[in-house]
Amino acid sequence: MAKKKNGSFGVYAVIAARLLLGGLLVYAGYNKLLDVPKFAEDIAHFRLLPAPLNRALAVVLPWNEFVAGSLLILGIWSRAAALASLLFFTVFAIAVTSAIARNLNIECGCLGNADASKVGLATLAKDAVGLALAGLVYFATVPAKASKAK
Amino acid sequence: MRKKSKLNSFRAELFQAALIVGLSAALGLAVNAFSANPLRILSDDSSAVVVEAPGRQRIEAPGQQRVEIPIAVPRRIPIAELMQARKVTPELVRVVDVRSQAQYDAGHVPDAIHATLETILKSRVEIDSLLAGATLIVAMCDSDDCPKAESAADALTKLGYKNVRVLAGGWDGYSHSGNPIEETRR
Repeated sequence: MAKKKNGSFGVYAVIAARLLLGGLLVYAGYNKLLDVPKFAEDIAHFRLLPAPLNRALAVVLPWNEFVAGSLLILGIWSRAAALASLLFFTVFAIAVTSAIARNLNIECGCLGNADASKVGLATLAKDAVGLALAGLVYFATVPAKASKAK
Repeated sequence: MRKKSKLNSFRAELFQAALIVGLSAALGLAVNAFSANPLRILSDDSSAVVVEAPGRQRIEAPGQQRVEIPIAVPRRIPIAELMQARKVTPELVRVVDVRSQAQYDAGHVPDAIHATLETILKSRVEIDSLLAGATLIVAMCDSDDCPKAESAADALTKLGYKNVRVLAGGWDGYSHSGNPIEETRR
């Protein structure tokens, strides 16, 4: 009985993590879409890419986040969307770490206009939470085929 | 056998993840391309971005019809050129600063107008009153990496203004150029 309770708790925890991660990505993507030029500027401040790539990323990334987040909320291709989220958060973590290493005093732009915080260890911690959520959703969600077999 | 099935499953998920990223990227590019004020991804350096100047150049080829072609001038205007124009005809030059209000208040080009991209796009009457009589309009933001000045210049050109340029170097360049800086005290 206790085992069953733990199992259902685990299922609810994964669903909660999936919805939280999905909501976070949709919120971040939506806020970035409200002011794409500002987001392009935020990316440019990281000084990692040439200007055309900064702009291309500013156009593309909010939609990546929005679509992956929506799929996570809807429970469609959850593991694939979590895998894509893992990629996003890994790239963000690399960019943030590089900015911290170079002592850049810049805005993160992580949540678009909704977040004016500067890049720092707190940003890295938020990234780690995102990575953990994406990892949890990916590894704890039963693959579609296995789920059907059961 | 189980290991192989896991690998196949991972491959399928990887493919799906690539589809999610690829299709959403295509969606983003399409939405940007069809939006009223698209972000110009490939326009970058002063040499690449040219706009039609107010005048037109006439070319006559022997035995051929006269043709008129627009003179292409670099969209970016160097700080020295802006300062020279302001010195000669200050009443005809307007600088439009599209940075945030806080950044503008902390320091701006003397007599520059503060107008966000949103104001330019939505408040035609206000913009017309601010730019009345100007023959040279210079949009500026943080630096050359900031695309808002380009977007503002595009928007102003679409509104019908001629000779709209972008300040090379933006505020970063201007503030280090030794030219006067004005602050807003509130």
